[in-house]
Amino acid sequence: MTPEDTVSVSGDIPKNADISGIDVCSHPKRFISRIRIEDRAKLILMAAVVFTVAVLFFIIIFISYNSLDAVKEIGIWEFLTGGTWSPGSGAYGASSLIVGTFLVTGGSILFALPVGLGMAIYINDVASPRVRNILKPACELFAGIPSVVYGFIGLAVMVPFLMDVFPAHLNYGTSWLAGSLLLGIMALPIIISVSQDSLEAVPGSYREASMALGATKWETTRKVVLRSAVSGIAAAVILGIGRALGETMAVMMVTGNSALIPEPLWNIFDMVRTLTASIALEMPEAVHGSLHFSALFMLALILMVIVLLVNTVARRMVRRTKIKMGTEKAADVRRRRLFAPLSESHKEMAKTAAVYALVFAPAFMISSLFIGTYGGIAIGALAAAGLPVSKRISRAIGPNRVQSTVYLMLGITVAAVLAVLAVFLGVIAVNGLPAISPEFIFSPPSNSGLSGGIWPAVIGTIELAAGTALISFPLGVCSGIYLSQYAGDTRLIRLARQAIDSLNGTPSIIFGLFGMSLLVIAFGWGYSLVGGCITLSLMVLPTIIKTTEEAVSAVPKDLTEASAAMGASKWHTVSKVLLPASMGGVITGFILSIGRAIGETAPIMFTAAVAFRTTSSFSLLDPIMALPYHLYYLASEVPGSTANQYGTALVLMMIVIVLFAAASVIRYRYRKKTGW
Amino acid sequence: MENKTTILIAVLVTAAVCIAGSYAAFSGTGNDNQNVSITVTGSTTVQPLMVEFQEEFEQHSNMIINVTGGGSGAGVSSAQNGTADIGMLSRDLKSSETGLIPVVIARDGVVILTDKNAGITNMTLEQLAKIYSGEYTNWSQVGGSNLPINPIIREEGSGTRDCIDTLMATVSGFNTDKFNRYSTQASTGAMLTQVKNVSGAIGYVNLGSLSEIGGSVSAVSVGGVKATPESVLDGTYELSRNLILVTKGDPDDNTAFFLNWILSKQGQAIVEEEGFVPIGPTA
Amino acid sequence: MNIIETNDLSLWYGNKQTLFDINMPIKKNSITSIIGPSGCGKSTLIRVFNRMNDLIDGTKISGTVLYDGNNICRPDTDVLALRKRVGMIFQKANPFPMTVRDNITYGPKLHGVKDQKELDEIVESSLRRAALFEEVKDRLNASALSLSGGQQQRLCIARALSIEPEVILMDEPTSALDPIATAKIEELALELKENYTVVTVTHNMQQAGRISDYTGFMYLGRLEEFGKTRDIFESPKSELTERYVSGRFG
Repeated sequence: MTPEDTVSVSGDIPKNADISGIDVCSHPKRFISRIRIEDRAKLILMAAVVFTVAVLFFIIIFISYNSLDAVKEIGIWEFLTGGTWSPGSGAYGASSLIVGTFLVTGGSILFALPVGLGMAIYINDVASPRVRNILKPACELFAGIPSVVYGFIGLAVMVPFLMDVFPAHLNYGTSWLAGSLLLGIMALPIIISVSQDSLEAVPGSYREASMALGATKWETTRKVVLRSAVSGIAAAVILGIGRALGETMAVMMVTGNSALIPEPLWNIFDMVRTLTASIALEMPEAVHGSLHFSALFMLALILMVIVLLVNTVARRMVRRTKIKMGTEKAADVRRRRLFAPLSESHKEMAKTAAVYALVFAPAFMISSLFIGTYGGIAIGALAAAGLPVSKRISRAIGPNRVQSTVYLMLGITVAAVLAVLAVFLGVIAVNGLPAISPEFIFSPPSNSGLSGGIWPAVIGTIELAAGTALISFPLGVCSGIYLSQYAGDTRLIRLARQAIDSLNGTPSIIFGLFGMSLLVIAFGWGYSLVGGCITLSLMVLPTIIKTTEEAVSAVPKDLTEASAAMGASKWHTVSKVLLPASMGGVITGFILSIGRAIGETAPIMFTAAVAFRTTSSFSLLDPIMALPYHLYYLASEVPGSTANQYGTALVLMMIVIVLFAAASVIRYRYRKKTGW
Repeated sequence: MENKTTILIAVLVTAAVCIAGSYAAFSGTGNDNQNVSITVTGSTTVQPLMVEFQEEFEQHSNMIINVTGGGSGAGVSSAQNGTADIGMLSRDLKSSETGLIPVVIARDGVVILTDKNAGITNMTLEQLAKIYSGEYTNWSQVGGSNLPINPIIREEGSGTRDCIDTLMATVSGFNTDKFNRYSTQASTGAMLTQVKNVSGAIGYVNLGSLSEIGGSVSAVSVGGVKATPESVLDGTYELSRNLILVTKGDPDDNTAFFLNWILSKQGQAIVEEEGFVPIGPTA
Repeated sequence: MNIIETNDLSLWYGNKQTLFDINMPIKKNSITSIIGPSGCGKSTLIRVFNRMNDLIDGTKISGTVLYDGNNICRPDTDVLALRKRVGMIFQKANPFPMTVRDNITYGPKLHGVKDQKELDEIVESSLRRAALFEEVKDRLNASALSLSGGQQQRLCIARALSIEPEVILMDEPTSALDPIATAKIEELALELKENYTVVTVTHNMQQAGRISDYTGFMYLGRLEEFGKTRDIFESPKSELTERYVSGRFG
């Protein structure tokens, strides 16, 4: 392609045509070619979006197609409501798995929301700027610990600990409680960082107004700031729920996996089994094309529907609260009229009743597990009675002391959570460091992984990262640019956005199943590097799109207008002004995504990863070793390889943490340089 | 430009990842004269054994062996649809799994583990079946200490579970109704960890993990016979199974060469080293 | 009678001194305006009166501010009680993102009023005193953010009045409003003076001239001149003041 081609009217214009050489003012003759470049650029960007949206539909089609047999032979209703899951005896009733999924997820949010919100409030209100600057990135680092590492530590440290605490109630240690706690800990970082962002975004003028009325900082936070930040906090909860619903490896390792509905329903000491765990447990043993195989795809389909439903409902709720906060819509006026007969005092009474119920219910549920129903009622009533007492006490000691008490409690919470996370990190570091040596890192495993090193797994992980980056970066960035700069608010675009959001919430194991059914089976590639890269790319694509879109949209409008006012074309403005200005944000999101991708186990265990591979020849179609899968394999199949397990976990974690730290640094520098 | 440094860092990071990746990818292409590769997929029980075969075999031939886990089910389907040359199974072929030719390469025993505090050193197959059926719930009922029994099982489709379930099914009155109440573990490692952690636990692992048993976990004799390679080989230990390799139809020359090597003295010696029971003479 | 009186008040943000030896008396039931060019310390000064400067880290104060004869700069001052007595209206209307009613009842509930009837009465009387009741009486349960800019500012005034303060500080309350809304606020300020003491900071010299009894002119953190409004505007003692009020600089 010669440079002349770039500007000729009839010539073929390369898609990466450099138009920087075209002076926008003094070459009127080249007007037409500029228009053509404009069109092509737009077309390419749009193609990326279309591709991404198509992926979602392909996933749904493939998962549905593969579950057809189960639908035909078992029937949807029987499948959903049947109580027994025992594929060996031909019983495919998924109700206990569905309930288990909800219970584990719900439990984790019940734990993570108050703790996470408390920590966010602490970071926002109490922590000094210096402490805040340590806590925030620390939280993000914890978000980067791979789930298989969490599961590994959960089984090795948390489960025995829980058994010591509840010796009479936990026969096996592995339980709903363990699963929810572990998932809660895993969901904490995202809940903390997203809700703290939204607390921070509450206009300072609300705070001032409240303080000027004589409210303390805590009263202000509780009554004004939290209310204003409610949609952001809801978004944090949705993200947390999404993560918990789709979590596979960690949950599978600590919940005990018994396909039963707890008795009573709130018995947190019972074992449960989630949809994801069932898939990961049984898929390896299911013969392709068998009824069992199809039934597992059906589970995946159910999981996907649940995730889509939760996302949609939650998004609606967020939008509704936003509307309520802003200007009134006709619907709100109607609702207001509807509730008009309810006087203020009735509303207050209803509110109070709700609060009492909220205190009574959990107190009853928890204590009844220990001391029976009547004892539970007594304790619940006692807890509810504590409400007015605590109100009276707080009035007696005055708002200032209430504030210091609350902040002290928040501080203790923060310290406790940090301690738990420190234990997680400490256990890995203390046990992993002795294992690490140049030989460990640079030699292949031997003796089934009992000795030797992890070099092929390190290489495999790097290959996966590079391949995923090569595929996802151009696609994601192009789609992001299109959505932020070219897309209008048409019905089609809204649909596309919804598809991308849904893809974002899709559990990673679903991508694994998709990759398996399409690439491994239908294309006949078998387990392969390229299959793993494609699967991981699809998984991270929506995140990259969203962060790109946000970063590009965050560039102040004046810049775009200034460029346009000088006669620059849109593409010229995008490529020469917007992209450079938003590069920091784009790169940060990209690195975070890659960090997440290389820690994943579920998507590659069905598409790319093998336990051993000593040969060093290279082909895209060869299977690979990868650190997270290697860790999972050692932990599950090679008892006695403890030292190597910790060593692998430490290396994997360090790679991810280095990537996350790099992202933090880039973001920090970038925020410092640009004003927005 | 203010963002130049940022972009530079970004480009460097990306470049570093790509270069490292491609270096890693192409660093090994030197010895590419090995052009025959055999893919082996399936049972995670057979997998460590296969890896040892691979390491030894590749030194003696110019073939590459790729070993993938995935479970016995994956072994069957990969062999059937041709994504693998050889499937590994830790159980026998079912009548529905057609078109495959099996080769038994070793035998394996299933070792019953209990919490040491249960105070049990021996049990009959009938007692075992009744424990898992939920008929016995306390170790004192089988002559042990007064401690509730907490059974642990493997996941549906596991070869180890398949073996023990099949044998227990020969005891009249055996049923799996209570299985949903038991802790289900996905792997040998998880099973061992659980038996170690849980008071009054009973579980099972394959013979190859015998060396890992100790501490608070004890291996129990069944019908008075200890699980050892000898007792498995002579058939006095009841809980045993075949490890088999399957090919789609008759194996091609290269695959047959590999299979024959496994059955040779050299291969069978590895079987013995790995704690399984060889079916032929060892070197 | 002076309800607030500052003696040699100086203030630092970190190492930067922003107020220099201010001596200013504020008479009860009067309107006092503080004028001066941007950055002269007007807002900083009135924020001392309800200790809102506490919210900024590294604020240091010397000198005294007497409120009802008590020095409110002492560290053991009950700041919450002080703020209950000294209300504040901000430059930009900042109603909470709640209903109109909840905006008004926020303060009283904070200070312990629980009775629904009493709260209803407070809502009505506060809104009446802020001349807003008639406009919003059937929208009490609508979001406060659905009101117009001028209405929002009057809602903020009503919110400040709901806890019966003695002094109302207004920090450029009309700078974001159109002339009609501004006129309404000014009118309101004049009415409020009957029962409250009003201190307002303004850029708008005409406004200061129209509504205030006393005016202080500040320049570079110093109180250049303080006196009866008419004196400041018609016969200023300082040349700086004269040049400023005649519009020749600032």
